[in-house]
Amino acid sequence: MKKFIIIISSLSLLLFCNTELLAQKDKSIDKITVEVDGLGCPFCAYGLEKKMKDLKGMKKMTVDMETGLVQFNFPADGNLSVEEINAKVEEAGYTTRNINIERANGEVVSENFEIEFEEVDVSGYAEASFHVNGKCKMCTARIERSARIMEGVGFAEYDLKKKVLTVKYDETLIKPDNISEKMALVGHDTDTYKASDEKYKSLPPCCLYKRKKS
Amino acid sequence: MKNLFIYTTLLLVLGAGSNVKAQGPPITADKPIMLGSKTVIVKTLTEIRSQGDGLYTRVPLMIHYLPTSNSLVALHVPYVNYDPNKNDGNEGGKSLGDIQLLLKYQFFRRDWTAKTFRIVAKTIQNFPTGPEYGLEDLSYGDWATYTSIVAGYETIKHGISAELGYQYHASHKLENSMKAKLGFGLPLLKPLYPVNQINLYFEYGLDKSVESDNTAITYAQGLQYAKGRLTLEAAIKVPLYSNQTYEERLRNSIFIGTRYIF
Repeated sequence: MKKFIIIISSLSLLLFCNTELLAQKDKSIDKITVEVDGLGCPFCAYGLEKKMKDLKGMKKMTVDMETGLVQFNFPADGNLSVEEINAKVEEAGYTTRNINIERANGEVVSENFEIEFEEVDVSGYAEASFHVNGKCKMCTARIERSARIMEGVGFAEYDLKKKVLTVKYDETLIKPDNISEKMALVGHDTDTYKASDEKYKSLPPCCLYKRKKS
Repeated sequence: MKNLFIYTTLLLVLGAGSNVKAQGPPITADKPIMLGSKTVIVKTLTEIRSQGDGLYTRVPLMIHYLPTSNSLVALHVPYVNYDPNKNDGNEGGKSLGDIQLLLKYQFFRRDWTAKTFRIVAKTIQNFPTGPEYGLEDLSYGDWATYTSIVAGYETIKHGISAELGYQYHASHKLENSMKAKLGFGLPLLKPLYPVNQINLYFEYGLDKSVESDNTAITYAQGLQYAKGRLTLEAAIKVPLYSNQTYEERLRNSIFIGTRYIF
């Protein structure tokens, strides 16, 4: 019995130390997520990985070909910036859409590199606001862009705290219901439309908001 | 030949309708995708060409370097062999072929999620270091400059590349010509990174002399296997139409190649 207690205690101590070490290791790692446009084939990802490897310390890079999502870890003391990451994507010959850095200290740095939309004269446009689920700045960029590219939408602004999307739209061309449906198609639940599980799971980890049980 | 054309068209239509995935670089055609600055690609693409007057073989060593993300410079150094038909009385032989310098510049790029459309300007300078076979892509033995535009639309569901160019022979020993290529790639496996791909290719080529009626239309069917940084490929090219002389007329070409990305 005494031996059994000693073995159990030793194992517990080992497990505790290991967990502590893992936690410490996690605290020294920044987690980077980049949405890259233009990865039309797996060969394209080689050029990208090669350039990312120039960032000394880059580890565990994964590329999802279908979503263009590139994820990797980087030592926190390297203090990697969004500008450095964007420069590497450009050198590889591709286009950055979004960069999200989850710092080891809990800080989140996000940058949206979307194309800027031309200003539209929205006088005479109708206005609507509705609930859209989202969690981070990448969500904000995706939600606003997805609404803004729709024909008839002249303005789109997402309030991340209130989780409300406000749009100004041409009533002869589009209805708020169409915009709400589009949000679900890009992975964001609204009060009237729910994104498919597949689409929701394809969102970057930082964008996985809490879903209401249906 | 008509059956081959119908078969190919059917395959293309069926392929386009199925759940096709991403593909790699075309085998006998070209595409405007570049793999990032400071990348080196070493390639070979042996061609064994059978035509009216004999059997030709070209074994090139091709070194491609991308100084920037939108430019490419390459050197092609081929070894060529000619085995003429016995009753023609021509002399065969083996030697260094025409060395070629290739330059590409990508001047248009539009990217979306998992898809891209790009256009490059391309030129190939042919140096007359090889024997005077006067053969397209094999050994002219003549100064020649080829200038073209290559455009490609590639998504993880479809891939199309097209090229339109002009071949100019400064010595006028050979005819100047217009050339066009059209390539389709059908991947047979899910797109994954690191690369693990089997791709099927359908590539069409047109060569039309601007000084005579000489015209040749060819079709190439290729298969490509890519694992990691290594790619192995094979293709067979056959004529769909040709009004060239019997001696010049292509019977078929077999291509076997490898490429490695550094």
